[in-house]
Amino acid sequence: MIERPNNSAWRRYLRFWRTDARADVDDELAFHLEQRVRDLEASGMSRAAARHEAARRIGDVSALKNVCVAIDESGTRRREREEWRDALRTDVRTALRQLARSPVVTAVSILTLALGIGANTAIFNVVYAVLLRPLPYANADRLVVVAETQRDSRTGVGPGQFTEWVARNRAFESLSAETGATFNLSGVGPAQRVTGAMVTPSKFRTLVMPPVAGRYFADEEATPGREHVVVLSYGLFTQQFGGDARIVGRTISLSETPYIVVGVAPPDYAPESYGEQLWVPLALTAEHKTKFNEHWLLVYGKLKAGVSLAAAQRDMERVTREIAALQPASMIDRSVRVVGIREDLAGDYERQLGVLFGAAGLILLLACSNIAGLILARLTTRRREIAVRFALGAGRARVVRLLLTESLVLAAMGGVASLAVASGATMLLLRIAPASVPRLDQADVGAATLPFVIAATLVAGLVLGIFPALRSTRGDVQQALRESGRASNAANPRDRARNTLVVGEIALALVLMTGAVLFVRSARNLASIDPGFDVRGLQSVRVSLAGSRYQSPAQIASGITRLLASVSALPQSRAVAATTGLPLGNGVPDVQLHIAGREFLAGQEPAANFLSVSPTYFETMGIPIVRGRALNSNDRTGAPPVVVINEALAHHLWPNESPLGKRFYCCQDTVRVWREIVGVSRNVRHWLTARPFAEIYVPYEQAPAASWVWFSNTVTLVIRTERSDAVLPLQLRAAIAGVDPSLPLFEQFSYDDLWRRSTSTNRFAMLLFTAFAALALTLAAIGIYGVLAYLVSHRTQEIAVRMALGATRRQVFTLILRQGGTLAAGGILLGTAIAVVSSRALQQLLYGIEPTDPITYAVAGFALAAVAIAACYVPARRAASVEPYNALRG
Amino acid sequence: MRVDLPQGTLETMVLKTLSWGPMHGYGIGNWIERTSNTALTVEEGSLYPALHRLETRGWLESEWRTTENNRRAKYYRLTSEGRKQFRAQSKSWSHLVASVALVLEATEP
Repeated sequence: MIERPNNSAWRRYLRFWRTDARADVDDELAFHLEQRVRDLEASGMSRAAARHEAARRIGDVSALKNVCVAIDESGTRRREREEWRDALRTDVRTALRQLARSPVVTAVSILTLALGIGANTAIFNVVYAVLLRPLPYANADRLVVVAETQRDSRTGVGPGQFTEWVARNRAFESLSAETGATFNLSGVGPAQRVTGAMVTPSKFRTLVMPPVAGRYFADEEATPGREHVVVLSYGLFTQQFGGDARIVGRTISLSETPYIVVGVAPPDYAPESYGEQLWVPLALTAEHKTKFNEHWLLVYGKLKAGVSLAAAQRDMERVTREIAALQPASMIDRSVRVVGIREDLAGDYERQLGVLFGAAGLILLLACSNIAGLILARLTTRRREIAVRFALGAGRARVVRLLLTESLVLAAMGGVASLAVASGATMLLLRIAPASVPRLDQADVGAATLPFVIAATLVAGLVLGIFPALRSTRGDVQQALRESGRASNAANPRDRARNTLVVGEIALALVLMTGAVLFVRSARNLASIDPGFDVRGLQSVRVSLAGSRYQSPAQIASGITRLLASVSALPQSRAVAATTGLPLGNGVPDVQLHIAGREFLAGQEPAANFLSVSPTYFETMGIPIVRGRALNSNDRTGAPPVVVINEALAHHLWPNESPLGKRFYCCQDTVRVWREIVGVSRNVRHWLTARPFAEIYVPYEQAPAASWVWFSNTVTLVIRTERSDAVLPLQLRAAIAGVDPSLPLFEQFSYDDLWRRSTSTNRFAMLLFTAFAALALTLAAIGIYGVLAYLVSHRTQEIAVRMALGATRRQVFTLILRQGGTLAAGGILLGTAIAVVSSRALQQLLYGIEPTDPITYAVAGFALAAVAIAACYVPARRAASVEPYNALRG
Repeated sequence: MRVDLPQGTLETMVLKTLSWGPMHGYGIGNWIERTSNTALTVEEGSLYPALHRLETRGWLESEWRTTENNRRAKYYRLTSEGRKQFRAQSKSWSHLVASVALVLEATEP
C-alpha cells in the first residue's frame, strides 16, 4: 500500500482532481475528535483525560469510517448512473432533433436500413430454421449419421456391416439402422398409402424423445414372428385416428397384415421432409447379418459423451479394416463416413444458404455505406456546429458519443421498420423456396429473429457512426469556425471519403449483379436442357399394388395390364404406359450386368439403371428408338426375354459394334435369365442436371420377381393427352378405382409440376439474387447521384467562373459526367475483381456456366455503367444550366 | 432521564438542526444534546452514517468551510428537497406524538 502523507495540503491537492471519499471522512471525524477534546478541556478535564473520553465516546473509529465511505460510494455510483442516463437522454433528444431537421435524408436512411436489415433477417430466419435450430432430440449434439462409402461417394449400409459395427465399435452409445417402407393402410377411411420406416428398436434410444402415448419397441420385437407392432407418427395419429390415445393396444391393417399399435411418437420426431408416418421393427435375420454386399440401411448413431466426430471416424475406420479382413471381396474400395446429423440434414443447402446469406450481408453493407455517405454529406454542413461544441469545451469523446448516438438512433428506427420487411420477406421466401429444403416449414419470425435484428441494428449503427464520427472530430477547429460555412473545395478529404464509399457501393452492386446474371443464364441453360423425351401433355400417377391379390409377379403384371386398359379408355388419352422409374420424378435402382462372353475385374462390372416398363413406354414418353425395335406386346411372360438399352450403355459396352442380339443376365435372378438386346433407345435424363446414366428397360411381364420388392409393388402410370385439363386427375383416379378401389394412389403430377420441381432450387437462387441485385443497383444509383448532386451544389460558383471564362455548357456537362464516370469505372473494376474471386462459391449452384464467364461480367458491368451514367445525368444537367451572372452575384 | 431514539427520529432532528443554517457534524450533535437538556445523547456511530445517508439521498449538501477558530470542517446544509422532507416528517411526528399522548393521557375508559 502506498503511504499517503498525512497532510491536508496534499489531500486538498488530491481532492482538486477528484473527490476522495475516504480522505473526506478522515478529515471530518478528526475535526469531530479535536472539537470534542477542546470542549472537554474547556470544562476542566486534563488534556489526556479529555482525549481518552473523546475516544471512548466515538467508539470504533475505523468501523464508523468504513460505514460512511460505503454510504458515500453507493451514492456516487448512483449519481454516476443518473448522470449517464441524463446525458444519454440529452444525446438521444439531440439526435432526434438533428434527424428531424433533414426529414428526407432520415426517411431514405430508415427505409434503406429497413430493407437491408429486413432482407438479412428474412434470410437468417431460413438459415436458422434449416441449419441452426437445435434438433428436438436429447443430446442432439452427439447424433451422427454413419454411412458407408464407395470410392468416396456415400452409399447405404449393408446389414452385415451394421451387425459388425454394433459388435465392434467403441465410439457409440447406440447405433440404429432403418430402411424406408411403404404400406397400404386400410380399414380406416379410403385406402391410403403411408410411408414409414422399418427400424431397429435402438432407433428410439438413439434419437431420443419420449413417446406421446404408449411405448417404443422392445429389443425382442425385432425378431421374425414378433415384429407385427407399430409406432405411429403424431401426424398420422391425429389425422387418421382422431388423436385418440385408445388406439394404443388396438390392431390396424398395414398391407393386409394386422399390426398392434404400441405407441405414438411426439409431433416433431420425424422431420417433415422425411414424411415418415409410422415405424415398424426391422427384423434382421441371421441371413441378413451375413450379407455384406447389399447396402440398403440408413444408420444413425449417438456418440458416447466426450467422443469427438473425428475420434468416431477413426474408430469406425478401424472397424472397417477389421471387417475387410473378414470379408475382403465385399469391401473393395469401401470405407466409412461419420457425419453430424445436422450437417447431414442440411446437405447441399448449407452452401446455397451460405451464398444467399453472404449476398444479403452485401446488401446490408451497401445500405450502410449509402447512409454513411448521406451522414458525411450532412456533417459537412454541420462542421460549424461541431466546431462550436469543441470551442465550448466538449471533449472529443463527447462529440464522438453524440454522433454515434445519432447513428444508433437512426439504426434503431431502421431496425424497428425492418421487422415489417422481415416478416413479409420471410413469408415470400417460404413461398418460393424449393419444397425439398429440410425443416424449412418451421421457418418463421420467431424467437431467434429478435436477437438477430438487434445485433444487426447495433452493427449497422456502429458501422454507420464510427467512420463519420472519427472524421468529423479531426481537423482544425479554428479553421472550421473561420470558414464561416463556405463550401470547401473538391480535394477535401471528406469528399474523398464519400467517393471511396460510392466506389465501394458500385463494386458491391456489381458483385450482386454478376451473381444475378449468372443465375439467370443458368436458368436459361436449365430451360433449354433436352431431357430426351417430350414433356408436353404428360400426366403421371403412382399406384401401389400391394396386398393379398398381388402376391406373385404374374398377379402384379395382370393388375398393371388391367390398369393400362382402363386408363387408355379415357377420352383424352392418346397413349398410356407403365414404368417403375419416372424421369424427373423418382429415383431408379441400378443393377450389375453380366454380359455373355465378357469378363470384368471385380468392382468394374458394368451397371445400369433398371426400369421395367410397358411396351408402350417409348411411344408414350416420346423416346425415339435409334436402333433395333421398341418392346412390343409379344414380349410377355413365356416369350424369349428381351431388353431395350439406352445409347449410353450401348456406347459404353459396345463402342464399335452393334449391341443388338447381345445377351446378359442381371438383377440377382435366382435362376439366370439371359436377356437379349433388341433395341437401343435415346438417352433420357432422370435428373435434370445429371448426365444420362446407362439404362436397361425390361418389359414388365418379364421383370425379375425380386424387382417388385425393390419398388415395393408400385408402378407409375404415364398418360399423354392432347391438353391437360382440370378434370383429368379426377378421371384418372376414377379409372384406377374402376379396376380396384383398394389401390392407393400417390405422387400424382403433371410434367409441368415435375419440371418446375427440378428447377426450383435454381429458380429460388435466381429470384433472390435478382431481387438483391435490383436493390443493390438502386442503392448504388442513389449513392452516385447523391455524391454528384452534392458536388454540383457546392461548386456552383466555381462552375460559374469557368463559364464566365468561356467554358461551354457542353464542357461543364462533360466535366460532371466524367467525375461520375470515374467513380463508376473504379467501382466496376473493383467489383469485377471481387466477383471473380467470390463467385467461385456459386460454382456448384450453377448449371452449364462457369462462375467466371466473361460475357456475364460484360453484361453486368455494362448494365451498371448505364445505371451510373443515368444517375449522373440529372446533376450534370443542373451544372450545365448554371447561370454565371446569377451564381456569381449571389 | 436518557431516552432511546426511535428509528428515523435522528434524521428528522438533524434536518431540524440544519433548518437554522449550515453546521458541521459536531455542532449538530451538540445542538441536539443541548436543546434536549442532555436527555438525548447523539452517538457518533449513528450521527455520521445518518449525515452521509441524507447527503447521498440528496436532502443535504456539504461543503468544506473554515470555522471561527480557523479550522477546516465539513458543513452540511439543507437542500430544498431536504427542507420539504423535514416539513413532512415533523408534521407526521407531531401528529404521532399528539395521538400517542391522547391515548396515554386518557382519563376515562
